[in-house]
Amino acid sequence: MLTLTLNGETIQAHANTLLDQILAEYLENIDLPFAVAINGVFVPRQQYTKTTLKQGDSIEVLSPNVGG
Amino acid sequence: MSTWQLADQTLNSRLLIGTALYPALTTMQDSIVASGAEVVTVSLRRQNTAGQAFWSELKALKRLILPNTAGCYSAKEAITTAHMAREVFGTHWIKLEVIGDDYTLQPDPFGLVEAATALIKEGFEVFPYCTDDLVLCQRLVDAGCRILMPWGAPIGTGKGLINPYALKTLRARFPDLTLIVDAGLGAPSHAAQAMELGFDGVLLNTAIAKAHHPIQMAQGFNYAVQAGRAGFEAGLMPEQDLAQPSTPILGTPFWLGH
Repeated sequence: MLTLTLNGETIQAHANTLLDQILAEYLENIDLPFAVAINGVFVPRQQYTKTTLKQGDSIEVLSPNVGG
Repeated sequence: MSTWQLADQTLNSRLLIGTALYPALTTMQDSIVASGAEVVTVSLRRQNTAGQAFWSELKALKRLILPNTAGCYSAKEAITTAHMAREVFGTHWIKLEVIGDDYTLQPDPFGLVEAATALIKEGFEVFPYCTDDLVLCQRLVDAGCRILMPWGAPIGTGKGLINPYALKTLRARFPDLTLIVDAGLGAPSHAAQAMELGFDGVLLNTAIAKAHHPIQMAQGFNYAVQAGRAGFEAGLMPEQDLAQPSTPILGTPFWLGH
């Protein structure tokens, strides 16, 4: 099992889990556009199905919000 | 009011406003409408239900979106945020913020130039939130910025233009660049002053959102920006120290003679 961080929360995932699978599992109820960075590096949408997660990866999923 | 060019867009309003700090979502919507602003700033944050309501209401207003990199303290963070914003919002516009000091929220000039250089090479239209330092602004222009957004005062202070001399100098040194005063404005008169100096626009958030009546204040800023611009275009009279009567001396009745 892998221990990962998703938006600051610790989650578990099987080895060789793809980013696409994690996003489908954790974001199914949110209807907002989003973009993803892993360990502070942007991951383009086309890479979701090709990105294998590694132990300790920190995933940030960001969406539109208020701003000045 | 005549139209103007902001990057690749032709706009009517010279007021750009933020979407944060409003007491309610409906107040934000009505304030945006009252302000006449065609460009609104937004951020990227972790998903939450408030964000969902915000985004659906904002989209309905059909304004141009200027995403920011608020909260970034390094060029690397700002570049990553800009990449994410481009994908989420489908725009190459980015309000580049790299903060260098927690207390004043003063932009980090070195991080700003580093990030702007990288992002412009990748095709972004960079709107750098910067200080009014002339040499920093020159470096940003050298990096390819066509727009500069110097602060009037630190974010959220409402102090107005704390260094009009520096802002005037920027206008004089960059006559053809798009210059927008961003941050620190507290009253409509501050916006009018910036426009009278020849700035192309103003960007603000807190002064409207934190007013007792935000919608009315949005309207006030709308008028002030138009008044200031009209004053600039009309050409202000030269200031002088000695009084000069405006009513003709010739023909003054004898009983008023000295």
